[in-house]
Amino acid sequence: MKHSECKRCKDLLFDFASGLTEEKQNQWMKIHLEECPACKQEYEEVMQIVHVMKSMDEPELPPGFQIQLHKKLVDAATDKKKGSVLDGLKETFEAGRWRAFAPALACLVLVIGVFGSGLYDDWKNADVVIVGEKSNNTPAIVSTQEEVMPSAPPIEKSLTPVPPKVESKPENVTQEQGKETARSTSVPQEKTPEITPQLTNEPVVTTAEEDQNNGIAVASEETAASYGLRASGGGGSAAWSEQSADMEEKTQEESLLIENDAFVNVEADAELQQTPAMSNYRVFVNQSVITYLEVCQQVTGINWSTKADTLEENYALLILTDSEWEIFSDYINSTGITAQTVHTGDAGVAVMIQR
Amino acid sequence: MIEEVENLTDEKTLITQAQRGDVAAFEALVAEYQKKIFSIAYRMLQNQEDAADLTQEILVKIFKNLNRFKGDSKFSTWIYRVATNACLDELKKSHRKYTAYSLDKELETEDGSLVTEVRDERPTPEAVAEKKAVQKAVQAAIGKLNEDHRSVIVLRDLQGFSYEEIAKVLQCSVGTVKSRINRARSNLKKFLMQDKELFSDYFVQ
Repeated sequence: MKHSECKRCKDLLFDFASGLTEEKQNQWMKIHLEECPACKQEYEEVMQIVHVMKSMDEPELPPGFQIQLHKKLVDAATDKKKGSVLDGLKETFEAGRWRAFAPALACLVLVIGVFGSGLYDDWKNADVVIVGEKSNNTPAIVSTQEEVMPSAPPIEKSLTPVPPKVESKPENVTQEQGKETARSTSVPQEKTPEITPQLTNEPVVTTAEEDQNNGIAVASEETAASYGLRASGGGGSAAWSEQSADMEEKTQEESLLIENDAFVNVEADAELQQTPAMSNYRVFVNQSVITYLEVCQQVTGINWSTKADTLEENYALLILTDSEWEIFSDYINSTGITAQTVHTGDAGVAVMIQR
Repeated sequence: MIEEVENLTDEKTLITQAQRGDVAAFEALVAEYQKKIFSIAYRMLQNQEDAADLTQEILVKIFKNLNRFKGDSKFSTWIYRVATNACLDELKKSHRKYTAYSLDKELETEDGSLVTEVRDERPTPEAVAEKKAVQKAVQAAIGKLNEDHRSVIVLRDLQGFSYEEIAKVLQCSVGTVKSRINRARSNLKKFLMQDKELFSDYFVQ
């Protein structure tokens, strides 16, 4: 038998034995095997191996595989979000890229890690958790924001959407419009579905003093969406509505018209205006970090929605200027929450907040 | 044909959803592949626990990197590529763990030294059914192949991939795949023949 034929036979042998060869090849193989005892012998051995290989059972996935996988995927989905932001942030700090921006943007990052600290659970279960005091230096914020906000470029592409410019037109928006906004900016909150229905009918409320209105950029629907507020249920804003509704009847309504035509209803607390220094804020926190941020906003006048880079149920990343941080940290200290510096850069510090 | 088109559309939709971070969509997307990935990992790593861990790792990796799938190849090819590469990486990383000895060298000598070095992984006939023993022997024989041979044997002879598919998965030429498979098979056969007595039912001579 020719060597080349045996070589060809050898090449085809395994596939032939496995039934994977084409008809033409099969015919050729049959003829060759008839003529070549050596290849025939080889063929029989290969047949046995193919037989054995075919008898191999597909291994079954071990029990619990699917559940474990699901957990890992959910973690990955969460990490993906956090990771990209934290990486971007780190990059910004380390590359010194922030220097390229206006000095007013000397940045500071606030990380609120609530979930691990148990604060989230506390909030979830508690009626009254945070009692904040209004600080005297609130007016200072106004000027800071007026200076900084409108010109503030994104710190990093993946980090910060450009804050919407604010145009104050107090009388332009009706209650009806405010309600619509409230529904559309609702934030998901699976864990307290029972309170969602009545809450979502309330307007989204951000409270600010009258004299601050001009300087404050208010969350727009679009902005909220770009910060990861997914609409699939009730949420932080709703919680705030509950709080506000609960807080006072003596509120006067004002609205801010934002450039991109999204509306947010603002309730200015008349009483607070009269006694800005020592008004206590009773907060019904059973929702999320968003609620907490709303409280911070109310106290400090710093609009979280334009500052939040990442917003999760239990996690938020805020990018603040130095002066904003000063005010913010004052407030945090007054709530008994300790702030721990996790990153210090020329631009500022990244702070992990725990209760 | 129509069904296939629909399936592809479904797959595309699921991929898009999963790329946006939709876990449920991803799970639906990989439902039909994960067992095969596990199977490949099990044959490659030789160990169920490691294979399950690696399979999950692979799937998470695919989930995280789904944006890199541009549709240049079939989705299945892409994920088997990720899976096979992950298995090969794992084998290379923990070479000692998964390989008893350097196979090719031993084979080349063919002086019988192999026999003394083969771990006796054969379960006693009393303990397990013969089929199980045979399967174990095959699994062990695959485990003695080097990584490259192991991957082509697993893909071709256990998973039934075509040469073209394997070439795409391993990103090499069909010719390379063919010659690699031939060498792998010839090695595998040698290993199995050493355990011939195990296969009395299969190896009737």
